[in-house]
Amino acid sequence: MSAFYFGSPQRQLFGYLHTPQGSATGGVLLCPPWGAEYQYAHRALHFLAKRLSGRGFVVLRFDYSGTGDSWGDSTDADLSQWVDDTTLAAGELRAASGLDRLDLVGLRVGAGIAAQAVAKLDGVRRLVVWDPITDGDRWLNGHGVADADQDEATVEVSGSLVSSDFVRQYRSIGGNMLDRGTVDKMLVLVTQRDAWNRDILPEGGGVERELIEQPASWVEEESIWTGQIPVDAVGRIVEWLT
Amino acid sequence: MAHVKETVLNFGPAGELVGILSRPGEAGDGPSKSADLAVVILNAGVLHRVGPNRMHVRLARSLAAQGTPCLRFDLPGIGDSRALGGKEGMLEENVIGMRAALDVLERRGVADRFLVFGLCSGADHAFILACVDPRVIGIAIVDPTRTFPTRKALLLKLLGPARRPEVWLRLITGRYRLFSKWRDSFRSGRAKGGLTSPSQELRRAREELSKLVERDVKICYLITGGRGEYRYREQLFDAFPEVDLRRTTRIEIFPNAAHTFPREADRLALEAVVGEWVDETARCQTGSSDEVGEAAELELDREAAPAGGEVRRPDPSASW
Repeated sequence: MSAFYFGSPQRQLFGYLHTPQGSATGGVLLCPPWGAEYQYAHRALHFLAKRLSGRGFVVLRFDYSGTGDSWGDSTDADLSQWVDDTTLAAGELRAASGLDRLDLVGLRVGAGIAAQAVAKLDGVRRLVVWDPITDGDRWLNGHGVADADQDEATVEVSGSLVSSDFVRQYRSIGGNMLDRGTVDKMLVLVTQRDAWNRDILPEGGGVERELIEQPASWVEEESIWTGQIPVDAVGRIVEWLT
Repeated sequence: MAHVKETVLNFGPAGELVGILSRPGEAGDGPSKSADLAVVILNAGVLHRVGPNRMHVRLARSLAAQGTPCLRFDLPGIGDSRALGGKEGMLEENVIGMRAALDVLERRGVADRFLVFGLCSGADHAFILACVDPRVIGIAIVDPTRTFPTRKALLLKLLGPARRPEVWLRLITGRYRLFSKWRDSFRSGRAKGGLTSPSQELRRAREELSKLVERDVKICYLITGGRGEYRYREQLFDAFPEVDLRRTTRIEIFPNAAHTFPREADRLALEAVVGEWVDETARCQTGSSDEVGEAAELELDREAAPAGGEVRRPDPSASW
């Protein structure tokens, strides 16, 4: 396992590579959530990465620009840039693993980012969209961001100061971001029954949809002041990819 | 951020620990404040080194841009760091991890004197590290989990509701549990040993603080709006009147800030205060590195130690 920076010297992205004990059977790129969801879900994604590397996968976790340990301020956040960051990270994973064909797993907004990145990448076999955000407008309203707020130059959202352009991008997030694209198989994994009943989720050939009711890993559990690890959901992702 | 270089550090007994070192940029970007001083940022609870609302990243970069190298890292078993796997308990492992962070910076020639920043359990850890390691010359601690009540604090807690009209309405209509609240407060104060008979914990804290003052360890004591049991600015000084804390300690209250600084304005205010304090402390310590005294050997007592996974929030009852 190793932590490292990659990308151009002026715009370095933070990555953490989990390597298996023996020879690699596959490579998995994990696309994280954003904002407070990012900080609370860190444990769950770390746990997933460890479980996958235990099954022979080389796994790369990384932070988008303007988030986590990566280059940039929160006001630099940009969904299009994050898709490009994801393609860059995929290249790093390929170089590190020596494998051409990869799988992508995205959690919350990371699900949409991963799906968008697939369109720019060759050789992605499978895609897991995990508790995807399917309605950015509703998400922002739920976080107290009104339509009028995006008239300001910057807006505070989920513990971050972001540009109004970013808010507009976020507001436009919809189920159409989750197109299966060119991947062979896609798993839509939902842990919240209300989202399962409400959200318009991808369907069709090659798409499997599953509800496994579990704690929301991206929400702060007050007794531990961070997100819980949804062990069954993580286990299902590992099994599906193995 | 311009003029800051960041490097991943792996360190610890077998490389278990992960941190990011932020350093001032190339020569010409500005003079380093003090060639042998660095800031170390500890985890807040179990959130990884990025910190709540990315606060630690911003603070590290802002301090580095001002000329002070800064390491943010994950304690054993938190974030990207692995547990050390020894027979030690959590607190002992954390102390080993914290000292390993100072060691790696010293070994790499980054610094040999340190200021340590921590929020909540991170504040507790910073205090513990200062007690056991003489290389620590200052701590900036935000909302430590241990606060010590005074008579004035208890009075303010009891009188607090009097400022709220709805409390008077409930009192008049017999729906306010005034006496049970007073009783609970009194019991809570007695249980914590903070009123008239100093508890073992209070005596111990007094001894530790006295030793830090004796070593001239600077303390930047930062309290957020909810403040838990911390009721007024000078409470720390009043709780330990026999310790000359005023000489070494700066107290700052952030009345509008929540515990994890979710608002930009509060994060900026925190960065400004800590930056200013680091500046002052660096100036104050320049040329005095030989005067660092021996650290007290702190007995690691799990009862008095912070729970590694616990992040305390300000007590909502503070505003009742």
